[in-house]
Amino acid sequence: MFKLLLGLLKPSAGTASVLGLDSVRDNAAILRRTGSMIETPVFYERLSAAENLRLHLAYMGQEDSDVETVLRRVGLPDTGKQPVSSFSLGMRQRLAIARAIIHRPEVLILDEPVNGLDPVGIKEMRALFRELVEKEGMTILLSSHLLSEVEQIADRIGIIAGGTVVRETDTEMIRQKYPDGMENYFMTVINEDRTGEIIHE
Amino acid sequence: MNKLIALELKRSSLGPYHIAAVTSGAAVLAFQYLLAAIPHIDPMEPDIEMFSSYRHLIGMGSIICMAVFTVLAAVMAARFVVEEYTGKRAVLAFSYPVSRKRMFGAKLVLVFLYTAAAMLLCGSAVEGVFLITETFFPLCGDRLTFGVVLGAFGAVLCNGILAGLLGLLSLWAGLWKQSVPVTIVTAVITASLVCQIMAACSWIGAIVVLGAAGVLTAFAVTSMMRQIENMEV
Repeated sequence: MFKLLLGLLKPSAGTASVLGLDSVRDNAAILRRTGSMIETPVFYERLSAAENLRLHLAYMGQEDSDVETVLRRVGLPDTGKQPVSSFSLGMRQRLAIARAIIHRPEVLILDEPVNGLDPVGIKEMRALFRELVEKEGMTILLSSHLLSEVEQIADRIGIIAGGTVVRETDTEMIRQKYPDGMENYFMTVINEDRTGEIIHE
Repeated sequence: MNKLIALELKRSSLGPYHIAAVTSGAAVLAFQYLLAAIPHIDPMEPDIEMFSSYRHLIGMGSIICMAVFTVLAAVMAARFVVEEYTGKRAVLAFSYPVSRKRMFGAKLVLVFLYTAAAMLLCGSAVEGVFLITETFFPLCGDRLTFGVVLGAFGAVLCNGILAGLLGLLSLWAGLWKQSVPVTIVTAVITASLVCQIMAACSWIGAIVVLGAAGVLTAFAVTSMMRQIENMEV
């Protein structure tokens, strides 16, 4: 779904739009106004974290913004000239998030953003995402298999089953109906979906 | 386009290609001396006439140089293009708000210009050194004239352009199969075939081969552009 939104895949039927723009026709405009992290992040391995970000900015057609500040925000303050090839999985994940936000996008699309991060990193990223939304007005669309994580970050949660968004609800409403946690809600939605399929068959 | 080429250069080091080009030039120079020395080493050699004429010696050296630089172009194209548009790296390449055609075009221009320029420089150095030493300590019995010197640099120029074109032609196969080995093997096969044709060609024949390679490469580039434009990752 994220790939469709970013124009990496073309819809076989129908259309996809981001910020009111068509994902195929207005692809360049969408890419300019969104930041993304999809699948395992890929970098220019022999370059440092800062050089990777500067290169990204150049491709995005932006001036060299404060790369060091962004690296500090994601928890990579002292990487200096260290090449990305020597980074751990967690550091690469942090750098991918830095790359997604450095050009100040309006929409941030993140696929499993806390994969490979330790508990401290997960907490820091959670705080960063909140800050981006509340202080910089960014909209974040993220996917995750970690239900507790989604519950703590998201304002609105959609569940995809069999390639379809089967339910989309405010997190607050879920909390009221399912005080025991997201897992019960998730299992209820999935079971309802399966029952619906069986009846349909 | 210039900005995109500059960015390509920032993210990839050309150092290994410089080393490969200089090493190839040195090897071709050594080989050319060896060819020129054959009449002295083995005076009974049946094809001795071929090794006793500057036209043939320089022609052979230049053609071998072209084959080597075709493979170098293919290696570079594989690194700059095939690897970039294969697997997860393609997601990164398509994540920038830059026209896919322009970004791809910048890579092709870089590969072509680098190969042609490297071959021109190394080939000129090889022929320059060879002809200077021939002026003072001739190995070849032929007469060294201004026409020979001019012909040598003409052959280097022609073969330099040909090496760049053949590199892009090999990329066509490599990109189609999305495989680095296919790119390089295609370059080896193509270079071997063109070497045979060029060795049997006159000047006019060589220009016809160059023209044909140009037309084929233009077709290949158009086809690759279409492939990149419609590529889904």
